[in-house]
Amino acid sequence: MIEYFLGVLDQMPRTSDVFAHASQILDTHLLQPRNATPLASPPGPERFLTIAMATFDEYDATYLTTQSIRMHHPEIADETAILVLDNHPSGPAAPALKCLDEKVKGYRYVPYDRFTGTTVKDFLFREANSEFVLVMDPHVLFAPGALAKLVAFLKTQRHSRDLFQGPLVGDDLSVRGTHFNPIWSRGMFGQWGIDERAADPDAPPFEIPMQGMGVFACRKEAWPGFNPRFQGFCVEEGYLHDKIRRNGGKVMCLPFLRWLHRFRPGGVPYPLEWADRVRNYLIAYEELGLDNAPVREHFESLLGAEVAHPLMETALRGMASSYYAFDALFAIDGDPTRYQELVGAPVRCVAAHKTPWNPEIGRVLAHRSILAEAVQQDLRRILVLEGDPVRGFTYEAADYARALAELPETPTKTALWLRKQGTLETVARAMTLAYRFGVRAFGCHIAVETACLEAYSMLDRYIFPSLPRMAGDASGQPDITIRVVRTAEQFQLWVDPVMVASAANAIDLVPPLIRVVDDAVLRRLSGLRAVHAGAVSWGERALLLPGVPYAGKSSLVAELLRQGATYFSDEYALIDAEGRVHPYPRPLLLRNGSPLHHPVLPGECNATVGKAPASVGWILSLQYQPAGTWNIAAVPQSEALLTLFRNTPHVLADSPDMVGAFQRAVAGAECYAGHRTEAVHAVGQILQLVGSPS
Amino acid sequence: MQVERTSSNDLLVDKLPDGSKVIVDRENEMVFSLNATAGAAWDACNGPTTLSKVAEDMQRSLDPRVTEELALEAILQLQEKKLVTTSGLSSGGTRRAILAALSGIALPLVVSLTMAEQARATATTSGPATTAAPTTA
Repeated sequence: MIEYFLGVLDQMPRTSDVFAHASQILDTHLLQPRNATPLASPPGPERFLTIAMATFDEYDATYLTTQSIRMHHPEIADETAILVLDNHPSGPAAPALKCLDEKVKGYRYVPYDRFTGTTVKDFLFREANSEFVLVMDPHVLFAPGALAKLVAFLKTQRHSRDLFQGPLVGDDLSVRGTHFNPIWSRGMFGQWGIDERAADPDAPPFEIPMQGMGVFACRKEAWPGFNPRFQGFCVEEGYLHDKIRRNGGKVMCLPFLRWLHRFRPGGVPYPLEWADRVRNYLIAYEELGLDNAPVREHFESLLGAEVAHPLMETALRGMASSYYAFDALFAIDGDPTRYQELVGAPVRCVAAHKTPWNPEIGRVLAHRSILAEAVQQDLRRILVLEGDPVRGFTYEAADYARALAELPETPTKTALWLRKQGTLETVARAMTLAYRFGVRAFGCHIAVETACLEAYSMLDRYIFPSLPRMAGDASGQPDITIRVVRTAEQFQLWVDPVMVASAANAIDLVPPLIRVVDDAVLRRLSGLRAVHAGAVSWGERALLLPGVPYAGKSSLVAELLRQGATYFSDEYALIDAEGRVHPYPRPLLLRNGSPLHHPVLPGECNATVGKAPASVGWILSLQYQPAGTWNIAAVPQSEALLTLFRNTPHVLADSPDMVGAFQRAVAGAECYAGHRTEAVHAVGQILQLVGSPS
Repeated sequence: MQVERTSSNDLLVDKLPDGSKVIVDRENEMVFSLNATAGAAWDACNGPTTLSKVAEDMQRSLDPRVTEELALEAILQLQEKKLVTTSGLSSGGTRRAILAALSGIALPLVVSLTMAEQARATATTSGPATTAAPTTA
């Protein structure tokens, strides 16, 4: 029946009333009703000032703030609009917040749930239909007359590039802060300070370095925007002020703009993640071209190196990945965690409309809404992820207008469009990425490429994940080229022109992938010699566990990492001419009782990767005896030296330099040999042997 | 009862901090590990000598408790690895366990590795670089 009606509609002029009416009816049949989240209020008429707030499950505060503006500042009602961006439109406050648009003149409700965080305030500027925007927390009250004075003042600033803020007053209504001093404190940049020039509310404006972001105003055209890669909370203070100044503006304190902030006694209801903070600050410093040492030092001292380092490494790895080139990553349906694991960065989650008659309709509409968001937020390049296996589509800013013109905006028009086009890919296919990157590891240049996003994510995650990536087209002639080809039934791993493995799942290619990478790197080692050995650092010194492949080194290394060791390698200790061991940061390959290996990153064992070579403190040559007992004895350093010779992949006769290098390696080591039990028990014994890290 | 090092022009000898020694015999493509006790016996053989002289030297350089029996065990191990030659020495067992209990000194130990063995070990430890038969594109 739907097909029949579509056939009829297809014959009608799109501009006719009959078409409009009939397609509206058909839309309701094509769309499956979903859990109602309130719709956005329609845009209102242009006003001089938009008073805008982002809220998250905060009905009471938002209601009272809104009504206070209308009740206590009626003189500005005709020149202002109130814009509420609901960052949790599926939450309990949403219906009531939406209903206010029927009761409060000039009130507009906009839902947004593709990500949460303070930087959704950026959208307030995008949505505002006014010359100036005053952004405020939804739990802020203004002193009587303050908003009228602000409107009057802003009318004298029609070409301003400045950011305007005002004094924060405390519960006793006295001024408690006029600005932030640029000092790190408890995970934030900035500490409140008081400038006496604000004591008199009628005093002239004065310049300040920065301030908290509970209240600020800016001309819409001068708004510098937030980095769209931010997610979660914290980073605005200092970052935004710096951008204002770089844009030719100043940060001004307006003494009359006194504001009272309700600090929530029980904390905020949304999650505050250290990972978000660390990532946001690192992104901010990178964008501003600043040395990120203050960020690293602050979070290291605040959280401790054990907590801070993995957070920073994860963030910096994400920033080094090729996905960082995208202003935003969108994921349509599915589990957002899975997408985030694939790309190593937060994604904006887009729920497609369910269109059971033809799911492609919902998909097209989702792409269209993403493109509209990209235009609205001035995103220059975006990646859209969808499906299983995951596919990726890129859109550049230059594509937006063409794609938006091509893609219909309603279900019925989309259904008609699909009758002709068949699929979204007619628009999007040319935008599919070929994923490439390069890695230089110990002198070996490895080029990596695939057309499959899922394979790319696997390659990016498991080929020396701690080493920086080079842009695929800027990395010169590679020593080897690794490709993963996705066919209808399998993933194939190719090394140069040779297919070396295939598997039903991309992840199953990791063990052979790591072996070919090891092989390529070891063949090209210069100045370093490898030994088959698990290697970790414990304190300042390295602990080596030499042994042939499949001797159980990886399980020992994994357990050592869980006990606080720093990762060097689960398979190859790289020894330099001075006898020091260098980290070889390949993923661990663990079997966990299975005949098959699976890859594990050091971070999954709560460990970091060593960054500098270490002298050898201990060499333990252990044989696994499942039913045996822990039984080892000290052996001479010269015997340990022979153990290293037996476990190196290099031929001694061809590498006479190895003798001196390995001698120097064993010279500072306590050496043992014997039998071990299973990994957890054995590592307990090893740690008793080596003692506390120095 | 004479003891003499096997003549070789291409021995590389190094002492490690724990007193053990590594000897690389490039001519015969061998590497030896000598623990401190065997190393002391090796040092004592830096010229033609006798068992009792070796024992005396080891008492000075290693431990005053070194006995002739222990020195003999060391010389026999060095001889077995063809690092020394002897004449007039008894080839009977030295009852290592009893020696160990009595002397309190580490028993002499000489371990060897031929370069051919080492090369074979590299082949077996390297493992296959691929998991499936290559297919030319």
